[in-house]
Amino acid sequence: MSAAVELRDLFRVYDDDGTGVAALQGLTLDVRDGEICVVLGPSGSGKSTLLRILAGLDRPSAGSARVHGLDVGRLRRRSLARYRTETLGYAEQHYRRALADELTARELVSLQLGLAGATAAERHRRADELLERVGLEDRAGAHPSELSGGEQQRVAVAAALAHRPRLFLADEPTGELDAENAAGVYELIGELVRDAGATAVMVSHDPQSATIADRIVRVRDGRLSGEVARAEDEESIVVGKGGWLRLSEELLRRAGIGSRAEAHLAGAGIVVSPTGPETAAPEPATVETPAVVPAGASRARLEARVDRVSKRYGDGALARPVLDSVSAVFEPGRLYAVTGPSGSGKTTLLHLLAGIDVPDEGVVVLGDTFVSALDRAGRAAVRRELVGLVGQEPGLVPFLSARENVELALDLRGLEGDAVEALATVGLEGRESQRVATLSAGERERVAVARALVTRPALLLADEPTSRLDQANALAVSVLFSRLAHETGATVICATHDPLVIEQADEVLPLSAVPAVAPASAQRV
Amino acid sequence: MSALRRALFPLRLARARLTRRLGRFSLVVLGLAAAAATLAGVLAGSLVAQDRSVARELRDLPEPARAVRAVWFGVPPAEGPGRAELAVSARRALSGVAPGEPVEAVLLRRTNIGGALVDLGGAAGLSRWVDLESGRLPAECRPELCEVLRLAGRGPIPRLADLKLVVVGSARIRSDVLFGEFLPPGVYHQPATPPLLLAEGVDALSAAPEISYVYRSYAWVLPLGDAPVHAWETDSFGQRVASARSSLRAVDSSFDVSAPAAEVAAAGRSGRAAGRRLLLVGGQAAALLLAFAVLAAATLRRDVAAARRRLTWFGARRAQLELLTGAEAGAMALVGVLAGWAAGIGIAALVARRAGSPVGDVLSHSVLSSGGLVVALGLAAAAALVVFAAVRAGPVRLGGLSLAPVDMAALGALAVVLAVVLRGSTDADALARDGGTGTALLLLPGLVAFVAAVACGRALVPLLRGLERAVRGRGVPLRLASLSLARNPGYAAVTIAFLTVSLGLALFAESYRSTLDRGQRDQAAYAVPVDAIVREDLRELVRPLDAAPLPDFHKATGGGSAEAVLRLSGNVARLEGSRSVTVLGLPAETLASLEGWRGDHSTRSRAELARLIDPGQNVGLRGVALPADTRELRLPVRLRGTPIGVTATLATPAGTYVRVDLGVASEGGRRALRGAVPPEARGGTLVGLAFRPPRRIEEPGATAGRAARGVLTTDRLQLVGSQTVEASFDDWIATNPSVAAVVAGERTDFHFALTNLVRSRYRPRQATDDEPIPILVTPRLAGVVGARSVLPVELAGQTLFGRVVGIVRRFPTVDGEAVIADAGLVTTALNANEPGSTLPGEVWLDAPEGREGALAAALTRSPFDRVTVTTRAEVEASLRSDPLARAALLTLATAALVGLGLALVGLLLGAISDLRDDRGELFDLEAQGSSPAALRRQVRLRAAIVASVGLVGGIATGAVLCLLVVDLVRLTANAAEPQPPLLLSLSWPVALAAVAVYGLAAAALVGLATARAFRAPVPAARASELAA
Repeated sequence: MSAAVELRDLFRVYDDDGTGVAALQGLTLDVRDGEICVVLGPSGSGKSTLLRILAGLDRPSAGSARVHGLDVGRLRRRSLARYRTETLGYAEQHYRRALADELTARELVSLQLGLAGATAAERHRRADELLERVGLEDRAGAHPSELSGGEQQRVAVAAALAHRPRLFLADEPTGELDAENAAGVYELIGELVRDAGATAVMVSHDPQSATIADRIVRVRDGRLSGEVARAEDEESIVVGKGGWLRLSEELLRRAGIGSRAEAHLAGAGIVVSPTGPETAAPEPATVETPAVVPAGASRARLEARVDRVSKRYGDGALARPVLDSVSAVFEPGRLYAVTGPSGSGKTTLLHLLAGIDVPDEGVVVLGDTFVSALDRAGRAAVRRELVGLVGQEPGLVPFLSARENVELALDLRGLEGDAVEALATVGLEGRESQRVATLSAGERERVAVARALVTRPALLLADEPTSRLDQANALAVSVLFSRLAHETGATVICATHDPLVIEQADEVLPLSAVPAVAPASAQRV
Repeated sequence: MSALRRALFPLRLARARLTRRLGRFSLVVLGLAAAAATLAGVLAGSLVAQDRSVARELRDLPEPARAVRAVWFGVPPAEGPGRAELAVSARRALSGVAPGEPVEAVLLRRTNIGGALVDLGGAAGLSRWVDLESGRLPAECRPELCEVLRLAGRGPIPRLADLKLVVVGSARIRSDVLFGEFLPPGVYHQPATPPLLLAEGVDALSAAPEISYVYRSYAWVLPLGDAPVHAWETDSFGQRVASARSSLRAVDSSFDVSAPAAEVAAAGRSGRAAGRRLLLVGGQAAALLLAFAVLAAATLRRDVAAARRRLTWFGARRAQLELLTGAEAGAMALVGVLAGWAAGIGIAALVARRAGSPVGDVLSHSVLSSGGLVVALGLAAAAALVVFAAVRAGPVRLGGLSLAPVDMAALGALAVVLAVVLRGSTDADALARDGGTGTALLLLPGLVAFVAAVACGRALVPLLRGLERAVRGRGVPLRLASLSLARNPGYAAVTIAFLTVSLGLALFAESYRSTLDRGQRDQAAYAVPVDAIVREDLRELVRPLDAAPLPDFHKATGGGSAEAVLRLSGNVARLEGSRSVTVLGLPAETLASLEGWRGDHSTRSRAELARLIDPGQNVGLRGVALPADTRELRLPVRLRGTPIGVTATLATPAGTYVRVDLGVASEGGRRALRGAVPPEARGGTLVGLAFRPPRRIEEPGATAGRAARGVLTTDRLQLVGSQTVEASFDDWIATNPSVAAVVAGERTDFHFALTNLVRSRYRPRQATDDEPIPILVTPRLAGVVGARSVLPVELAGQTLFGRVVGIVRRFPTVDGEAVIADAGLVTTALNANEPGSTLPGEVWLDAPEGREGALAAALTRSPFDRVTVTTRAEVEASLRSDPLARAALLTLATAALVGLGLALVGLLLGAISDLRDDRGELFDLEAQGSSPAALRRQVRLRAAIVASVGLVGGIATGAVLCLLVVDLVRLTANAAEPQPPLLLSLSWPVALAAVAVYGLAAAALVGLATARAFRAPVPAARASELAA
């Protein structure tokens, strides 16, 4: 079978305000014609950049990206538009952004055909056929806002496949769906792609996506680090150009390999064994941990508690339960990792604890303050007093520098502190004066962490704080959080997928997605 | 086919987006509709105002001129066309000039018919033209019985065999339209006239054989009150009149056609200038609304960018994306402009109907004319382009030294503005022209506003950075508000630019309105700087002081002042070009209290100027006072030499002069010359004696040039009354060397050598004899003064010597070069040698406060009804009621309100946009613990900064516009040349009230827009994200 996608030594370096940030660092990958390839990897590993280059929405800094023989990184604008019209189907990560609300489901599905010059009859026939395939034949006249999340995602997939593309690209196609809906969408993608005889490259965090994959590849730090084919049980390690290969952290720790190792042939294989002074250290001692956890203890020791909290979003048919009667106690001096699939309510739980949101039922208590009973201003006052928050999106004020953002957090609370030191703690020495809008996503994430730490909060809430960080920084931040909890007595709660954070946690609190119609206490910590 | 479908598919998408998201686009459409409606309304409204102005100009014409008149003069020939044929030709020719049916009239030259002198005429439909005073209206004139009305005159009625004239009543002519100047209206100074008889109908009079030899005129009159000339016909009217004249002259050379073509053309020109000036204002309002549409379109930028991004994911090509955006912009523009134009047509129809102009004609000559439709399409095209550019523009990036295309465009606009400024001011004619200066001026406000907006954008970055530095260390909301503006101006920069434009145009409109309003007051005060001026009625030839003595005028003022004023025309020989000057003599105290005096009339104050010309003493003509009962003047004389006549000149108490002939002195011993003093001169003053040479010398002939020589010895003058009083000639002087007086005790010897070339007088020495009188002059005259600042002014054979003591740039009531002096000095100086040569021609009246109306009413009554009275209130009312002026002021006021209103809406949009666009940032701040109140404060402070900076920019823009336009467009509110020149005037109370309204309304609107923000139980941004 010939290669539909050929990526060779693909580099993509973003130059933001003179600072180079490498999203892809020599990625090489072939996807065979008709193959469904799922790309897994943490946030910030370069998956989306890979997809954007394949979609012709971005161009590589170096290397080549060929799709059915076309070097998409070097196509002229006109050819690129034809490529996107004729060859490509693209399903965006945030499907709501891809679906114009002024169009009906039928119009959305037939949109790409219309742009390609199909007749009305052709468009309607194909749209009706696809809507029937995705089970939405009776919702053809509905606008996106009248559809549920799962229905919208199915429309988005159908719209991306309506013109029978030869290459289907999907970026986290189920990232905003619950598990049941996600499974349905995966199944649908598998069916439609195979029916169309297309090749698919699908980026995901979600292991569930593997169910339809012919092959799964892992990306880390902008490189391919491993892959496993459907027929194989064992994940193979990718050997890169020049003999480069990457071993998993877990494997290294088990082998007691620190910063140095030696390799020698052993029969048909190679044995890698620890060497040097850190041979017995299973800890990630090679990662530079912060020298100083922000000075002084946290301003208070605080027990955080949620008691039978429930939360749902939307009304009527669109109502979606996120948390259902969840209870938990978070003690001071401990790092908690809240885990669970997308849609399981991790972010909502953190927002309830921060007082950004209020539960439909149940109470949220910080120390002896019933946060959920306070009004919006009162909850803001509690946050100022007690809480440090690192959001899923880093937030920050884009027109301020890193230092000003940190100082702003201090000013808001009327505190004194050293913003430069806080930024150094997260490895941003020399970047203090740079506006955050020009920082990379990972750097912005670290500014957000520094901003939360500098206020010495009694309760630190972090939502996927390592999702945009490379492995070293992710580990550093994880360790920092752990030490913050242990050394200052702060209560640290992280919502995370990242095993590195989970590994550092004192306690892991798994959440599961709540079915649309959930029995009481189906979700309880 | 597939390619065509592919190309056109974006149009389907555009339709879907527009129809299903109407709300999002409606603000843009509304803004464009308002712009189009404004422009259409101004186009049609300006035509209505012009039409009313032309109608008013026609109404103000003298009645006889207010008609199109075809007249045939002559004696009906035995051969050739008869009256009936002439009538057919005249009616046919007039039918093309103006609609309506001409009225026929005949007037026979005053002639002796059957032994009686008579004026005889006839007209069809007499009841329309006469007011019956007695009797009844006549029946149709027939040869056997021709009933007539007596209009004037006395005397016998002719008895004719074939035309029996019977007077059935008396009447007076109601209107001069029919007979014009052929029937003189005046009765004053007119000798007794024969009977003027008017018959009903023309046929019988024209056909009567007994009077067929009488020279006559047949007239076919089309009164313009019945068939008015409209503003859109002013040019063609003159052509039609000329065409009618030619065609009738071709029929018979005795035909002539008269019509107020020149007046109509002038009214048309004036109206066009006013109309274009209205367009200048209306155009700026439309440009402002267009700018508002751009502001509204800028709010769509994110939405459009998202749509384009989505379509890019779906493989749309660039041309398809541009077509989609272009189609949306075009559709918004087309719908907005069409809807607005339709609304404008409705408004225009309403305005035309209310003003009394024909609705259909107004529309077809304005908004529905080909030119009007081109303007609408042009507006739609321009709107589509600016909306397209607004929604496609990238994020606002300010600062840096590189020039963006918009900077280049602004530099180009600035170059045009400078070119207009360098070209200098324009007048009504230039403005009325279709191209050149007029067009450039029309674009001026828009160009200045555009340059101001770009300059404001350029100045914004350093300004906001300065502000940000200034507020460091202040509260977090203020710091964040200023920081966000300094580093991320975004939509706020667009809002500030819009505020600069809208507030600038509002300020300009209000200042210009205020300037024109003040200009009307100034014009009225310049024309009549007191409450009323009474002048001679040139038709009646009655001078004010002939109609009534000064005390009567004083009495009419009810306790105010009445001053006699001299106005003389003269020449200054030293002047280049026009040498004509106006000499105005008025009491110095009147100058000090003139109404409407402006600082730019002179660098000195009125009081100071009055002091400069005030003689400080009584300078009336000195002489020998006559007791009130003086009946006779008696002068004992003895002559040696040629006999000469002696005449005494007396000044009457009423201010007039009479001459008393004392007789001729001849040789032969002592005798007394005598002259009776007329009653009106009793109590007056003897102001001089004149010596008259014998007739043979006075008359040119053989002896001309030979002097009459001799010595006339007189004793004291005797004033004979109840008692005889003797008067001496102490301190009398001769006016020229032809008479030399030697006074010796009671006796005076006059050594004379008289010719007919020089008048020789002997008179008392006057206050003005030794020094030139102090005068104020205009700068041009000041430039030609001679030694010791003396300026000689030639006045009707005399030379007035004035010493320039001050300069006035201009002086009320005087158009052109002016010499201002004290009335007493001027009168004395000129009457000293020629008593009675200079008499006041005007009386300036000032009533006490609040009694101006009573004065005006008193002046309408006898005896003042024989003179021309002009009151300041009347002039001002006339200026204010001018349709063009009213339209201009109303348009400006509306433009100012629209500008202010749109600025507030723009500010509101800005605040709403801040809440929407910055919600992520605001959410983050709240997540960090910022309270909802602090967030609200931050948004409000940002709006306050935007509002303040926009206000400053607007004031600067408005100031520049005011200075440029007022300086360049030198037209009054009714599009006339301003006299005095317009003076930029800002109505401070209105301006301060507007700023207060702006501040309060902005605070209220932004307060309302942000009042509900951050009040929900949870942040809306987060809730919606999670729901998604």
